[in-house]
This record gives sequence, C-alpha cells and structure tokens, in this order.
Amino acid sequence: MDKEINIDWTLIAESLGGDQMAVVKAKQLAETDETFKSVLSEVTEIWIQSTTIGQEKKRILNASRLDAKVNEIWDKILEVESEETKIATTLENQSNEVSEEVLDIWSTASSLGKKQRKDVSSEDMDAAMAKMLLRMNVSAEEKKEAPTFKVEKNLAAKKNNTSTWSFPNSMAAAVAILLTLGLSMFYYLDSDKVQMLQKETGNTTALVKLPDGTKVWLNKESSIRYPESFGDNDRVVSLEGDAFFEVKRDEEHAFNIITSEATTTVLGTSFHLTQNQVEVVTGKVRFESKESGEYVVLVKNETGAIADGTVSKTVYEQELNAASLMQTELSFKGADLSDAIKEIGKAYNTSIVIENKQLEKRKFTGTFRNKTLETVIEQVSEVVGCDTEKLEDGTVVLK
Amino acid sequence: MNFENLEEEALIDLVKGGDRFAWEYITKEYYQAILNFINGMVKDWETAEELVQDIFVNFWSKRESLNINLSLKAYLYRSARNHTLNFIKRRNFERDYQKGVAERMVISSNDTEDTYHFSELEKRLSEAIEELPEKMKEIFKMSRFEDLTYKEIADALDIPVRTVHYQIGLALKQLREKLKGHVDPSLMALEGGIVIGLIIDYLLQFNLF
Repeated sequence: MDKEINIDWTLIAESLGGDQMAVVKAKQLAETDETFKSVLSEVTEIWIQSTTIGQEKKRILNASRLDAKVNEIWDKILEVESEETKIATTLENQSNEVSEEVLDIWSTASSLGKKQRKDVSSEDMDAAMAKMLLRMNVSAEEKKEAPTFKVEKNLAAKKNNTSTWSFPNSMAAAVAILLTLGLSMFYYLDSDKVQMLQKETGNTTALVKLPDGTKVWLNKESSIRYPESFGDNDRVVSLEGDAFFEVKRDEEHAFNIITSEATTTVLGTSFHLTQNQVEVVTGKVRFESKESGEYVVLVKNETGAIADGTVSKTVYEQELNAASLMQTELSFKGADLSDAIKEIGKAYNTSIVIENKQLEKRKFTGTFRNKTLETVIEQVSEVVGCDTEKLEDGTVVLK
Repeated sequence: MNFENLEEEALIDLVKGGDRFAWEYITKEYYQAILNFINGMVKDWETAEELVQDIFVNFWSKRESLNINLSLKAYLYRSARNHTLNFIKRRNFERDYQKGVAERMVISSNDTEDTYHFSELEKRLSEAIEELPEKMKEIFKMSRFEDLTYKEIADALDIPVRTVHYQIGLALKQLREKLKGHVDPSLMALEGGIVIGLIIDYLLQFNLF
C-alpha cells in the first residue's frame, strides 16, 4: 500500500447510513485487513473531494463511484457478520450446480418481472403529459388564493406596465404579426393552392397533431382547420369551439389561431382556447380582439377574455376547465352556477337549463371525477338546494 | 436545450427554477418505470396511471421546496411507494367502512398472471414470491422487477443497505427451498444448503456496479 491511508469515521458512518453496528464491525476489520482499510480510505477521499468543491450536492457526481465503494464495505462487513454468509462462503467452492440453481431463480424472477411490465407508447406518453400539464396548472391555481385583477380596459394603450412581451421591438413585431397574419389568412384560408384539412369532433374529444408538431386536444363539438403544410409562412389555423393547444416552439414562425372573436398569436406555449377566452398554461400568448384590434399579452395563469370588442385580462380564479378535455374531471371554485352548468352540460353532451333565475348567480364549488351525469346533477342540486327534473328529450332542468 | 448531457443535479436545479422542459425530460425518462412499479403494488393499470401522474405533478408543484439528497431515481421510487401505500391505506379504509358504496374500486381481473405467458417455473416462482413475508417480498421485487441497485432500494425504503442485503439473501434462500424439485430436477441430488455469499457476489457483480 503506497497510498496514504486516511479514514474519517464520521464520514464512513454517514456513508453506511448511520448503522453503528456496521461501523463497529468496520473498525474491527480495519485493524487487520489492509485492503479493507484502503477501501475505507478511498471512501473518505471521495467524500472529502466532493465536499471541498463547495457544495454538498457535488457528491452526486461521485455517487456511482462512492456507491460501489460503500457496497464493497458492506460486502466485507456482511461477509464476516452474517451467519448465512459464513455457510455460503464454505459452499462457494463446493458446487456450481447449487449456485446455478439460485442463479436460475434469480434470472427467472427477472424475466417474470419483465413479462408483467407494460411499455408506454409515445401516444400514451403524450396523453399523460397533457393530463399532467393541465393538472400542474390546476394545482398551481389551487394553491394561490387567486386574487382577481381589476379588469383593465384598453391594455394596448398602457402596454408598458402590464406585461413584458419578450420581443425587443414589441410594437414593430406586433405590427409585423398583424400584417403577416392578414397575408397568411389570405394564403391559407382563401387559397386553393394549399390543401386545407379539417378535424371535427362530435361528442368525443380528439388529439390532432398539426404538421409542425403542435398538438391540439380538441374538445367536444369543436373543429379545427389547418393547412396540410405550413410552408415557410406564419402558422395559421382556425378554430370553432374550444381546444387545448401545445404549440411547437418556432421563433421564426408565429402560430396564429383565429376564432370568431379573437386572434391568438404565440411562439410556443400551451393554453386553453375557446372562441372568446384563453387560459395560458405555459409561455406567453398575444390575444387580440378581431373587432377592435385591442390586445393583451398573457402569461402563465392568466386568462384573457373578449366581450364586445374589449379585451380583459385576469389571473384566473375559475379555470376554464381545460382538464375536462382529456379527463372526466370537472372542477369549480366559486363559479356562477350558470357557468358551471354550461361546463357540465358540455362535458356530458347534455342540455341543462336553469328554470329558477335566482339560481343562476349562485356560486358553486366542487370537483367531480369520473362521475355519471346523474351523480353530478344530484350533488349539484344538493349543494345548491334545488329540485331537478329530467325531460323526455334528455334535457335536465334545475328548479 | 439538450438535457441528456446534463448532470442530474443540474437537471433538478432547472426544475427547481421552473423549467418545465427539464421536468418533461425527467418525467419521460422515469414515467414508465414508476408506472410499472406502482402497478406492481396496486395491480390495476388505471389506478397506477393516476398515481404515477400524481407523483410527477407533485414533483413539479413542490419543486421549490424540493430537497433531494438521494439520487433522483431513489427519490422518485420513494415518493411513488409512499404515495401508493397511502392510497392503498385509504382504499382499504373506504372498503372497510363504506361497504355498499357503489363506486368501490374493483381490482381489474385482466392483470392476473393468466394474461401473461408464464413458464411452469415462472408460475411457481411467482407464487413463491407472493408467499414471502411483506418486507422481504417488496425488497426482492424492487431488486428483480425494477432493476434497482441495493443502494437505490435502501434509499427508496429509507432502510440501511445491510437490510437489503439480508432480505434478498433470505428471500433467495426461501425461494430456493420452496422451489425444490422445480428448478432443475437434475440438481436435486445436491443437498446444498445456503449459498448467500455466492449470490451476493453475483449480485454485486451484476447489480451494483
């Protein structure tokens, strides 16, 4: 052993998970076993090396080396300590067959495990991702007590203090987008040259993958039109109904979505869009009224809404319920009953009406997961305290 | 950004700083493994899927207070195990006290071994593994089914590495006794006894480094 032997027992104890019995045993062993001592010394060295770099976490860099060494120590300790091991070591030279038998068990167990495994396809992974992204947003929202911002009108005019659009020349960029948008509209929506595709949903939701890699989870009773190929222009699609978008990032080609009331422009983000509302999950979105040209720039957890050409921005208190697109989960927090009912009706593809007008403004909070429509209605009526009736044509009436 | 070349700690730091793409990278990396691990506990893919998503969503929502002093893998397995155990506890509680509730969870039957094509030995081994004491079974499965190292198992279960060593050694001993006559008849003439040390050597060789 030409190497210097330096053993720090505190560190060794820590590397052995604070197992004092093991430490005692290691000390005993170290008295007689030079090889073992050098292993202990190496472990000490790795620890000191890692910690002197500055951060404790640097240790991770050496984790595999350290693990290997620590396991060497364990091996040694267990070798002398355990009854079984003693027997084993005497058996070791005795028969290969017995060891094969155990190896057989060992490898059979492994293949047993493999057979029960399931591979996650990329579609499954995508769907799971979407669900999680939505939930991440939802749970972030739950934590905050989400104060509603005062609805600011004409945000375009006081742009500077409302948001930080990341373009350096934001005004110029905005104008450019508007211009190209007009052109692209011309190209994409009114031209026969580009093959337009359309995807429509009935009473199911659907995942649509656009040519640029953007993913769109289309809600029920919605449709999207998009070109077969986006070519080298800005990306433009039109939407009816609502959908959740995860836009593939492409700084060169802004992504524009046209709905009946709004034009939404993004570079690469995810958000939930209805005809006149947008709820941003990640990234930044420019949301513009088609009628007035007024626009707001929205970031995570912000909702933009358009009413009579006026664009407003709020930090959302009641989610637009993006979650219900991909999973049968409905969640309301202090929502107007009329709005909640609308969402529920949409989710279950049923028409629900409120007969008693006084109920409409009642606030409703509650979450439904994988519930039948009957259960949902029952619980809503219980909370709100109203009667329900189901008409012959399936319409549900709240009285 | 290319996450593949990043050290694990750097990746975690990115997540802590709110980088959703780093989170996505980690999630895609471990989703399948954790899903299978949880399914091994709950024996129902749908439930497992919900639970695994909880794990990664929590990983994100708690990112700011994240304190990972284990390897990321061990950390995720540990959270997955704790979360699933809690779920099972809750489920059992509901079962015991809310009998008659229509929405009681039914363990799906398509996850029985029948759907897999097991060899005779695999069937017997599978039964034998199920008969092992709880803790031993769990450790053995984590090692064999999840391909975790002893260190990772120890970290995930928050027990000393030595316990993992012991339990796996004992599990093998018990399994071998239970499978006597089924592993390979030609070997049965040998009254072997126990070969833990040998096995441990073997395990160390293949599983730990």
